[in-house]
Formats: sequence, structure tokens, C-alpha cells
Amino acid sequence: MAEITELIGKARGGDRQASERLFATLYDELRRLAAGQLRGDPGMRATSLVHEAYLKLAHHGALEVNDRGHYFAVAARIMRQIVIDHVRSRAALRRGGNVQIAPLTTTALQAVAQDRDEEVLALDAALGSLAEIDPQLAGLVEMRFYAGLELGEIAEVQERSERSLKRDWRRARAFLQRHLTAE
Amino acid sequence: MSTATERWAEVAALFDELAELEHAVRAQRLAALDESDPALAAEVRALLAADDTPNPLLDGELAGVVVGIPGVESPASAPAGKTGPWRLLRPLGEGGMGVVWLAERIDGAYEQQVAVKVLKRGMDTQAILRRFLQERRILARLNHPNIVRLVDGGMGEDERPYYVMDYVDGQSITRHAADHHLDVSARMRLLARVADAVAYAHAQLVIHRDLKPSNVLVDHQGEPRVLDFGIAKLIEESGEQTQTGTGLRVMSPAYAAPEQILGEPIGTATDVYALGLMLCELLVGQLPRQRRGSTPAQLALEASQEVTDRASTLAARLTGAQLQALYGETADPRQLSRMLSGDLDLIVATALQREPARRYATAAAFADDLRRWLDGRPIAARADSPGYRLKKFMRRHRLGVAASVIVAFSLIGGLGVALWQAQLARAEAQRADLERGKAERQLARSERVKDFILTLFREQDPISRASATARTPVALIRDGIAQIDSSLAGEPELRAQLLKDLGEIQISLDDREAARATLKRAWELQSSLSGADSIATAEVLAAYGDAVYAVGDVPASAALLRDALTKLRQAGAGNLPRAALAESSLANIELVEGSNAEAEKLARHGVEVFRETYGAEDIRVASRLGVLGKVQQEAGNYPDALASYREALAIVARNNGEDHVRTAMLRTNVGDILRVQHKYDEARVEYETALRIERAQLPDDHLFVGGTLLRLGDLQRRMGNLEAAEASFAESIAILGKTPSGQYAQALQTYGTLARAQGRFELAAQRYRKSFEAFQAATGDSVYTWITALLEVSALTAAERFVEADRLGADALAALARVSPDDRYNNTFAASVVGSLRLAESRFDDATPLLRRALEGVQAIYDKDHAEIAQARVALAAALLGQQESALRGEAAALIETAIETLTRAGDAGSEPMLGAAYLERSRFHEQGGNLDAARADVVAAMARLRTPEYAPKLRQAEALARKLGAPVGGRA
Repeated sequence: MAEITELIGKARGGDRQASERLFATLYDELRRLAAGQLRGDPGMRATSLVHEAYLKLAHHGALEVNDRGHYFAVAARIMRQIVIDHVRSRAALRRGGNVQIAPLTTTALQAVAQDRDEEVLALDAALGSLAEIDPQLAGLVEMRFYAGLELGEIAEVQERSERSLKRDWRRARAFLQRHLTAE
Repeated sequence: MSTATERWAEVAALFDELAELEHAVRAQRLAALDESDPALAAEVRALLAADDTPNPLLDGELAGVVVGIPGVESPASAPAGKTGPWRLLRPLGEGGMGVVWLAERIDGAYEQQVAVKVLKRGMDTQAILRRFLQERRILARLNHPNIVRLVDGGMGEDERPYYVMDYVDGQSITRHAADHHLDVSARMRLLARVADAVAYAHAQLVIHRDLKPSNVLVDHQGEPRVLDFGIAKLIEESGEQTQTGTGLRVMSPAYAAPEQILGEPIGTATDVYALGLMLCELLVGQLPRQRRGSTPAQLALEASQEVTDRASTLAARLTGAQLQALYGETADPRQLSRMLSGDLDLIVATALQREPARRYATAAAFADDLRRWLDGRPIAARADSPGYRLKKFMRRHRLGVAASVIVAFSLIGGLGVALWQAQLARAEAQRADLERGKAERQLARSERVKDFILTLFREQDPISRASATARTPVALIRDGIAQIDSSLAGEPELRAQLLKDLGEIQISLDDREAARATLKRAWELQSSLSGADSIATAEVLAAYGDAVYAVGDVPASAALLRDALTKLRQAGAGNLPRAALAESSLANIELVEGSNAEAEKLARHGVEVFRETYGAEDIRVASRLGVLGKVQQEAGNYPDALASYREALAIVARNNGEDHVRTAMLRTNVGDILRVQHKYDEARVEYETALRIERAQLPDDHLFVGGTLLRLGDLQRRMGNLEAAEASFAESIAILGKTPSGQYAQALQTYGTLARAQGRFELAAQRYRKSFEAFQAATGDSVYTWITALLEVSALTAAERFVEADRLGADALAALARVSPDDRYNNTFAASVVGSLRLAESRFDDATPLLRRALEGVQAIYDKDHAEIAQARVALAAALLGQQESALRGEAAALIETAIETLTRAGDAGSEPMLGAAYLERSRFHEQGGNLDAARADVVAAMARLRTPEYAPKLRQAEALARKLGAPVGGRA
């Protein structure tokens, strides 16, 4: 756990390998929490998953205060990945593919509507387009959308004003909406 | 960068600006832009249009879209809405399945505010849905003033089910009692009403299963109300809800009854247990016991052995501040303790019996006893006296009680003996104080421990793991240890204790190196906390010694264990169970080192301490008896060893059933003794039974299976079934060779003996050599190592490799004289092996005294008709005859005749070749005396009986003699 601080430091400094390892480490942690929350584990409910993971890491001394911004950005990307992995693997399952999605397998999977899945995937694609021209804005969407952070919280970790973030959000939302309907 | 990025920056700036403007102004600006950059204008226009278009996906929560994705829904941030005809005002709380909202009727048709429980998003799996509706169904059938009432229920617009209950504006029962400084009687009355409500539920066939203070609210009128039937169960139902596997996940471990943790059947007595806990917590603000177990298995073990403190004892321990918080300024701890001791202690103890059948049968009976107490009438729990639980308590503290008596006695008597006893007594009293102090500290830590346990529970749940594979117990414990460091960093005492517990579990899980590391840390930590000579430190040191033993460092382990025992005894804690455990471990070491008497003394004391502490029938006594039996067995004290094992077997069978794995282990021990006593058929029954049990309950390649196969193979060899033996050995060695150990060495040894039985002496010598090396690695310079060397000597002798045999024999004799000077069996065996070597070398003068000693030895060890004695007689006769002195012929003849008589009487297949050897010697005797006809007859009789491969050398001798005598040698079989 303590290595996370080090990884974050290196990742911020542009170390690609560290970045990948950070991603992998957090991915496992968040997926675990996600599965726990899925089962309605009461201990996991008070805060969002990402907060939960953050508190845990911070409690372990794995994170320093100035790591927060970077942490939430990475965590949000990961949550996005988890959502997409989940939807894709479920789609594969429905097609009869042999995909292992053990931790998230519940009867709820059968209940989801196919077209909503497609919306989620379309949103992911739109977000991909946004990331190409404005990675920072895409990051904001990820944090809001997948990490479940309020704009106020994002403002705090990014040390920006909430007003300017609101503006960013509105712009990002418009971009995504346009891309979702344009295709 | 790219043009796309630059273009987007332009679009973005314009969008930000225009989005803030009035529509009219916006249109003007866009029209102007159409002139200069129509593409840009179109882009911005499209974005602004998108800005005005609602999109549930973008504006809602993603989690609501993808079912099964953990959402970010939280009651605090979710907007108040409506469900059915109910307006949700604010969240009150949440459970596993649902969020509970304060709500009111939208149309005002119902005036009261209510609590609405709505199934959480993402929770609508079939199982959870059933559970949720079950709770609603259960509530619907309950109509009692002290149970929260079901008002309404239905399906919300978003297809999520909900139900509506009375809103109880109040506090938990314990909070309420403390805030209002209720006196003992008022608390009893309050709980009696709760018990009434529970009794009513029971009458409606509903068991709550999760009663605890937070589920009993008291409103402003002082009326208690039972709520949260979320895991309640209908008695007549079977199947899913009664599966305790799910029960373990949802219940609150701190309040769970033993049967809930142990996965035993749940009944109304389960709720009675919870009521008992609640009574105790109401009265003294604490639970009467704590659970320190950190794994379900450990929790289960604790639950099965739980001993609870008396409420009055807890009351006496309350600090002034605690007491004030509970009862207000004027409370007096002694008065409270007096009030609770006696009947109230008994009521709590009766409700908290480990066995549900011993508790109050129903909540109604419990309520009755509370009211009897309130009315000053005799309580019903008394009728069940003489208070099983209190007796148990007395037994636990008998030493302490006796100690104070002795102190008083010595003051009057003033005798030397009394003074000495008084010293012991004071140490005992000090120990009792220490234990009490320890218990208090433990109590204070219980909350933190509970948290820790819960974390582990979560971690342990295989479904919550990201990886598809569930963790092994070894990994689980290792993770637990890693967590101790981080989550209990500020609590070194607790950390030391948990490290010790988990380290001990690691030993039992065979995670040896890790156990050593864990316990070393625990020991260092404990030393720094309570000093190197404290009882706590000595206890950890003993555990550390066990771990070092498990790793195989016997000398280091012995030093640690002796050190620990010395410290425990000096601190007056020599009779603690932990000390007894250390004594058992040390007994094993003394045994390996050849100090049989010391080993037996230690082992016997261990048994006594455990009997005293836990009662003679307790399963833990069986383990100590097992160690004692082992020590007695190794010392050659077979009748006592058999008695110890059989007592242990009976205890295990009574506690755990006839087919428990532990009976298998004990049976193999019994079989070992029977085998040594040459009661082969009885031994085989024991081994085969053990093997059947092990194969049924353990993995195929478990060490136990290997060990039992090894024994069975040896027995089959002795019984002459060499093929079966070969198969048993091959399987056994394959299993045991995976983890080289003493047992593996033993398997190789017996394998060597099999080769010898097949007449393959070179192979036998090789296998013995391997065994010797394995023993040396596992046990060092031990008796086992050198006995094996002697076996190798005998194989080398049969292979006629006398030079090597001489050298090794001398080494073995010297080593045994050093390692185990006084052991009768070893000395006899050594004399026999080396004597036979001398005989084979034709050094008859040297052979004779050795073989005479061997004969004396076996005569002392075995029954007079034992085949070993006959064999020893024949060997000695051979040595005597070899010397060719007429003075010795008489003795030789007598020896031979007695042997032949014994062996003929035995008449079994195993004695035939021995009889052959005897005839051979008689033939020699006759030949020396010139009685050639008799000599020929005997040598023919000898050859007929020496066809067994193992006796090939003898057969060759017989054939040589036959040729010399002109007797027919005959075709070889």
C-alpha cells in the first residue's frame, strides 16, 4: 500500500510504468469495493467507492495530502474502466461469449436493458473523442461521472473555483450530448 | 498542438461566453459570427442546442443506468422525492438492502409522519427482493404495541418496492436508559416489555435474529419499540433463510448467539440469548463477553467455548465515570454489584447459556423471570440449580478461593509448611489479580477488536474479492497480520495479542516460517510493553518456542520453551493452560532428546492443568492425553500409553463423534502400540479404521493419510503380505516426500525393512541410509537417527558387507550411549544387531556377551512366549555353539529346545522361518555331537522352513550344512 504514494509521485513525473502499476493497483482495490457495494455491504455505503478507497489508502499512510488530486483523477479513470469492462463483458456474456466476470455476476445482470448498455458505451466513445481534444475536460467528466464526486469536491482537490468548474462541466456536457446525438 | 485542439479552444471560449447570455443576445452574436466564420458558428450553435437538451444519462447518475454497477447514490445527497403516495423528507438511515426515509402522505390522508424503507438501487436481485418482501410480510403479521407497525407498502414509480412503518422518534434502549439515569428496576421493566414483544413475535412464529440495542428504540413516552426485522425468519419456513452461511454475513457478530456463529439450528432461544446480552448491557453498560476471534473459524471456536462474566462482576469493575454515565451521580458501584449478584446474575447467565436448550425456553419465560425479580419473588432460573454456570465459574476460580483460605490458615498456624503454602497461595492470588486486570483491558479493547474482525470478515468474503479465486486460510491469516500493523498501529497491546493469536493459528496451519516471524514480533512487542519477565511475555515466548519447533530448530525451541516455563513458574503462572501447552511441547523435545522420565513428568502435568482448568471431559484434555500417551509409548510404558490414548479417544468421540479426524490420529497411535505388542490383527483394525476416516475427511495427499499408509504398510509387511505392503509404502512415500520430515524418514526406514523382508539386502541398506539421512535432517543426533543406523548395520550384515557394518555399528553404539544411555529397548536392540553382526563374522567370543544381553533385554520387555525371545535364544545358542566348547553345549541345547517349543506352540506363519533357524542350530548341535542322523533330519526341517527371502542367508548356511552332512538339499522353491 505504501508504494502508492511513490507510484503517484512517479506517475506525476511522467513515469509510464509507474502509471500503469498505479492503475492496476487501484483497479483491483476499486473493483473489490465495487463488488462489495454491489452486495449491499453496509460498511461500504456511507461514501462513494472512490472515497472509500481514498480513505483506506490515506489511512494506510499510502497517500499524502497533495496526492489527492492525482488520486481522484486516476480513480475516476479506473471507475470508468470498471463500468465499461462490466458492460462489455456482460454484453459478451449475453452473446454467449466466455468472459469471466465472476465478482460482478448477479441476477441483476439479466435485468438490465440492452439499449441502456449501448448508451453507456456510446457515452464512453464520446468521452474518448473529448479526451483527444481536451483531456482535462474529459478528466472532469470522469471524476463527476464515474467517481461520483460533487463539483465542490473536485474544486477542492484540483484547487480551482467551483464556478469555473461549473462552466467546464456545462461545456463538457454539451460536447457529449452533441456527440451522442450526432452519431 | 493539433488543429482540432486549437479549434476546440476557440469553440469552447465562445460557448462559455454565449451560454451565459440571454437568448436574444446570443442570437445576435451568432448571426454576426455566421458572417466571419460560418463553420465555427454552426459548431457553437450545435453545442448550445445540446446544452438545452435534457439527457437522463448525462443528468442522472450513471449507476441508475447500469444495473449492477455500484452507484454513488447516498442518502444524504440523493434528492428527496416521492414513492407511491409518500413524500420522502429526509433519510433516517440505511441497512443492507434499503434506505429508510422519514416521509409523509402527499395527500394528507394520513397525518403522522412515517418511516419508508425503499429498496436500494442495484439491489433488486431476486434473492434480495425476496428478502425485502419477506420482511414486509413478517411485519404485516405482527401487530403489537411494542413492535414497529407496518402501515403501507407497494411499488414505487421506478419499480422499486417500498414499505411504510410507524416512525419511532426515539433513542436506542441503552442510550435512553443512560440519558434518563433509569434505575435498575426501571431498566428491568423496560426490557420486560421488549421481551413481551419478542415473545409475541415468537407466538407469531417469527424469530428476530438480530436483536440489539440499536434495534430497540424508546420513544418520548418511554415506550420501547422493536424494529428491523430485516433478517428475521419465519419458523415454519425452511430453505434459504435458514442457511446460516448468509446469516453469518448479515448478523452482528458481537450480539450473535453461539449457534448463529457455529451454524447450528436457530430458534426462539437465539432471541433469548440476545435479550440476555441486552439485559447485561442495560445494567452494566457492557457485554459480558467479548469475541476476539478474527476469522469465522476462530470465532466459532470461541463461541463454542465461551465463558461469560457475571453482571455483578462487571458492575464491580465499573469506573466512577462509567457508573455515572449509566446511572447518574448518586450511583454506588458496590450497591449495584450487590443488587445484581445472585438472582440477576443467574437470569443473565441462564439466558446466555452456550446450549440453547439450557436457556429460558421462550422470551415469555425470560420476561416472567424479570417480573418475578421485580416483584421480589423467587426466580425460575433457581429451579434449574445448582446453577451449572456458577459451578463452572467456581471451578474456574477454585484456586483463587483456596489461595485466600490458605493465607488465612497460615496466619493462625505459623507452621513452616503453611508458610510455604502461603507463598504459593499469594502467587496464586497475584495471578488471579493479573488475570482480572487482563480481562478488564481486554474488555476496553473489545470495540477495536470488533472493528478489526469486521474488516477481516469483509476481506474474507470470497465474493468481495476482485480475483475469482478465494483465498486460502494461510493467505487470509497473512493478510490479517498485515492489517494488524496498519489498522492497530496505535494500540500496541492489542496488536501484540492479535499477533500472538494469529501466529499460533499459523502454526496450526503449518505456515511455519511465517509463524516464527509473526510470533517473534509478537514476543518483541510484548517484551517492550510489559517487560521481558511478565506472564504475557512468557506466554508469547512459549508460542514463539512452538513456532521454532515447528520450523525444526529443536535446540533453539527447547531453550525458548524452558525459558518461557521458568518465567511462567516464577510468576506463579505455572498452572496456566499456556504453561501446560509449553510443557507438552517441551515433553516432545525431551522425548526426542531421550529424557523419557522428564518428558512424562511434563506431559502428566499438562493433563492435570487442563483437567483442572476445563474439566475432565473437555475436548482440550484429549490433546494433552494424546501427548502423554505418546510420551509413555516412547518410553515403552505400553499399558499406560494405551490407557491414555483410549481415554482421549473416548473424549473425542463423545465431543465430536466416532468418525472425527482426531479419532483417526489416536487410533493410529493405539495401532502402533498393538503392533509393537505383536497384536497384528488388532492393530490392523485400528489402522484401517483410521485410514477410512482420513480418506473420507481429508485431501487424498494429506500427511495423515501418508502416515497411516506407512503404518499399515509396515503391518502388512510384518503379516507377510508384501505386495500390499509395497503398494501402501509407495503411496505413503509419495505423499510424505513432499514435505521431508521425521515421518518421511520413518517411511523410508520401513521401506528399507520391506526390502529386507524381500531378501533384497543391498536395497534395504540403501533405503535405510536415506532414512538415516532424513532423520538426521529432521531430528538431528536423535535416537531415531541411530536406531536407523543400526537397521542399516543389520542390512549390511545380511549383505555380508562387514567392514561397513562394523564401522557404522561402532558409530551407532557410541551415539546411542551418548543420546540415550539408559533406554532398555535401544540397548537391547543395539546388542542384538551388533551381536548378530559378530555372529555373521564368526567372531563368536564377541557375539556371545552381546547376544546374552540382548536376550536378557527382550525377556524384560516382552511376554515370556514372545517370538523375539525365542529368536534371541536361538541367536545366543548359535554364538555359544560357534565357540565349539563342550562346556557351552548344554546351555545352547536348552536355549534351542525352549525356543523350538515356544515357536511350535505359536504355530503361526511368521514363526516358521524362526523355527527353521532354530532347527538349523539344533542340526549344528547334533553335528558337533556326532549325532549325524538327527543333524540331517533337523537341517532338512530347517531348509523347509527357511524359504522366506529374508532368511536367505540362513538358508544358504543350512544348505551348506546339508551338503556337508550329505542330506538332500532339494529343489529351491
